Amino acid sequence: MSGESEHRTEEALELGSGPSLLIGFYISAILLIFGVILVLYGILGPASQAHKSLGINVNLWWGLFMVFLGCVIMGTSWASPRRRAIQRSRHP
Amino acid sequence: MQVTRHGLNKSSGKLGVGNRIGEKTDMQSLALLQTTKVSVSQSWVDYLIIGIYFVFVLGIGALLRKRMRSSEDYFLAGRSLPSWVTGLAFLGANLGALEILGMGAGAAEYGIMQAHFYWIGAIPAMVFVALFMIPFYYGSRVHSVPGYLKRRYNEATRGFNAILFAIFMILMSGINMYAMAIVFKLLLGWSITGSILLSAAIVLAYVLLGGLSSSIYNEVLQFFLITLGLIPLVGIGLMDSGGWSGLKQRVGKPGFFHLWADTGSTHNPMAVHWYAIVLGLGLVVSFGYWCNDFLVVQRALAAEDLAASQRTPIIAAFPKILYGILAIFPGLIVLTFLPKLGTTSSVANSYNMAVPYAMAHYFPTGLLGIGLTALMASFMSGMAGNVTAFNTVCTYDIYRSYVRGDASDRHYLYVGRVITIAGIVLSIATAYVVLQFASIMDYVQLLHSIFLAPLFGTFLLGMFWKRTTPWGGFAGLFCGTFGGLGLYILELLKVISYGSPMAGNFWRALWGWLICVGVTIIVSLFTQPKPEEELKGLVWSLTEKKQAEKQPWYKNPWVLGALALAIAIVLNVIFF
Repeated sequence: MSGESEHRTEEALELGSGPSLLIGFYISAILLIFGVILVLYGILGPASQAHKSLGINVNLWWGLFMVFLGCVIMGTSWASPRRRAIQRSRHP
Repeated sequence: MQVTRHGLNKSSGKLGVGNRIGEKTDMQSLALLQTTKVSVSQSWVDYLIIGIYFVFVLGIGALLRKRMRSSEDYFLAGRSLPSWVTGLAFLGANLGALEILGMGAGAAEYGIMQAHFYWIGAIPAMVFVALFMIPFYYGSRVHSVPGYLKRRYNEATRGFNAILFAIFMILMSGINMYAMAIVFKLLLGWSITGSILLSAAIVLAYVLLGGLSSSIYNEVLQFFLITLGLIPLVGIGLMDSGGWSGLKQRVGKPGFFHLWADTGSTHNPMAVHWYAIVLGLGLVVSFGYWCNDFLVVQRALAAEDLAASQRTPIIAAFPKILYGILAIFPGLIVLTFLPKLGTTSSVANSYNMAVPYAMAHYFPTGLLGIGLTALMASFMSGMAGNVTAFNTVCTYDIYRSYVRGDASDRHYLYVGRVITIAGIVLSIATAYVVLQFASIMDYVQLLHSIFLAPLFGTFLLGMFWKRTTPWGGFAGLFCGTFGGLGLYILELLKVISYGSPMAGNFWRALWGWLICVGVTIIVSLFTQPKPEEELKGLVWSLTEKKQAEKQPWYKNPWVLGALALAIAIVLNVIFF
C-alpha cells in the first residue's frame, strides 16, 4: 500500500506538483485566453452590437474580469500546492 | 443603475424612467411576437471561442491518457484532492442541461417557485450528506449503487435496478442531446432532426477522441463557464427590467414572484400545497438524489481526508445557492420580452428556449460565444456522464452478469465501446421523446419520480433498519417503481389529475417512495434477514462512523453547513 502511494506522489510531482495544480493551470489558461479574446474584441471589434447589452461594452468589461480571475486562480495554484509538495519532498 | 434606483424607490414608477423602459419593451416584444424568432447575431468570434473550448477539453483528455493508466481511477481512488477541487467537481457532476435550460424553463413556466429546487430541494440534502452520509460511506463497504444492492439485498434487486438504471441513463442522455440540438437550431436555423443528428455526431467525436477520460477537469471548468456565462445575463437582464420590482411589473403575474405565500392552497403556478413541496421535493426527490447518486458522491470521497470529504458537498452548496438566482432569473427575464413563451407547442416557442433566447437577446457576439460554450459544456458533460454510466451498467452489471461472465478484460473493453456507440444512437431516439413535454424540467422530474424515488426508499431502509430482508428490498423496489409508473399512466388516461405537471411529479415521487417503504417493511417481516456479520459496513448501526480530525472553525463542516442552511432560509424569507 505504501509503495503504491509513493508511486502516486511521484507521478503527481512529475505532473507538476499535484493534480490540483494542473487543474488550476488548466482553468486559468482557458479563462485567460477567453478573457483576452473578449477584451480584444471589445476594443477592436465593431460597435454595432452595443445596443444589445444596454450600451455597455460588456465584452470589454467581462473580458477584463475573466483575465483578472484567471490570474487569481493561477496565482493561488502556483502558491499553495507547490509549496506543499516541495515541503513534502524536503521532509519525507 | 439609475433605472434600478428609480424602480425601487418610487412605488408609482409610471413616470419618467419607468415609462421609457416600458415603451421600448412593448415595441420589442411586439416585433418578437410577430416573428417568434429572436434574432441571434453570432459571428466568427463565437465559433472561435467554442472551438478553443473543444481544443482544451480534448487536449486535456489526450494529455491525461498518455500520462496515466486511467485518470479517473487515479483521482477517485487516490483520495488526494483538495476540497475546493472535489467541491467544484461535485457540483459540476451535478450540473447539466437540466441546470441551465431546465431551471430557466421551469422559471418561465412556474415563476420563482422553481427556486424551490435549490433552496429547499438541494441545500438541506447537501448539508445532510456532508454531515451524516459521508462519514458512513467513508467507513463502509458502499462504493456504488449496484454493489450496495447486491451485498445488502440480493442479486434480483441488483439486476432489476441495473436494467432500470440503464433505461434511465439513456432517457437522460437523450435530454442532453435534445438540449444541444435546440441550441444549434437557434444558431443555425436547421430543423430539429438535422440539429439532433449534428449533436450526435459531435458527441460521438468527443467520446471517440477520449473526452470521457478527463471528467473531473471538465466538471470544474464547466462550473466556471456556467457561472461566468450566467452572471452577465442576470445582471444585464435585471438592469433592463428595472430590478426586481420592475421585473414583477413587466411580467405581470404576481403568483410568479412568491415562493411560499400562495402554497396554503393549490392556487399557485405549480398548483401544489406547501407540504407536497416539503415532503415530495424537499425530502424524497432531494435526498434521494444527493444521498444515492454515486457519480456525485464519488467526487466527495476522492478528497484528501475525511474532513475534506465532508466539506465537499458544503463547498458545492454555496454556488448552488447562488444558482437559485443565476439559473432561475433568466426564465423570468425572458418573459419581459417574450410573454407568450411556452404557450404554443412549437419547439421554437417552448419553455426550454428561455435561457438561449435571453442570451441571444442580451449578449453581443463575443460574450455570446462564452454563453454558448457554457451551454455546450454542460450538455457535453451531462451526456458524457450518462453515456459512461450506461456503458458501465450494461457492460458489467448486465452483460458480464447475465450474458458472458468469464471473458477477458479486452473483450469487455470492446463490448463497452460497442455499447457506448449504441447508447449514443439510442439517445437520438430518446431525444425525440423530450418533444412531448412542455419543458425539460417536467420531464426530468417525471423520470426522477419513477426511477429515483423508490430506490431512495430501498436505500433508506437498507441503511437504517437491520431487519430489512433481501426479498423485502426487492419487493419494495419493484412495487414502488411500477406503482409510480402506474400512477403516471393513470394521469395520462386522465383518471387522476393534478393542477400542473410538477405537482404530479412531487406527489408521484412521494407515493412511489411510500409504496416502496410500505411493501419493503411488510415483506421483510415475513422473510429471513441476513445474519448481522454480513451486514457490517452496510447498515448504519453496524458500521463504525469515522470521526474527522478537529478542524479550525472555517473548515468545520458543521459550521459551514449551518451557514449554508442559514443563507437558504434567509432567501426563503426574502422571496416568500
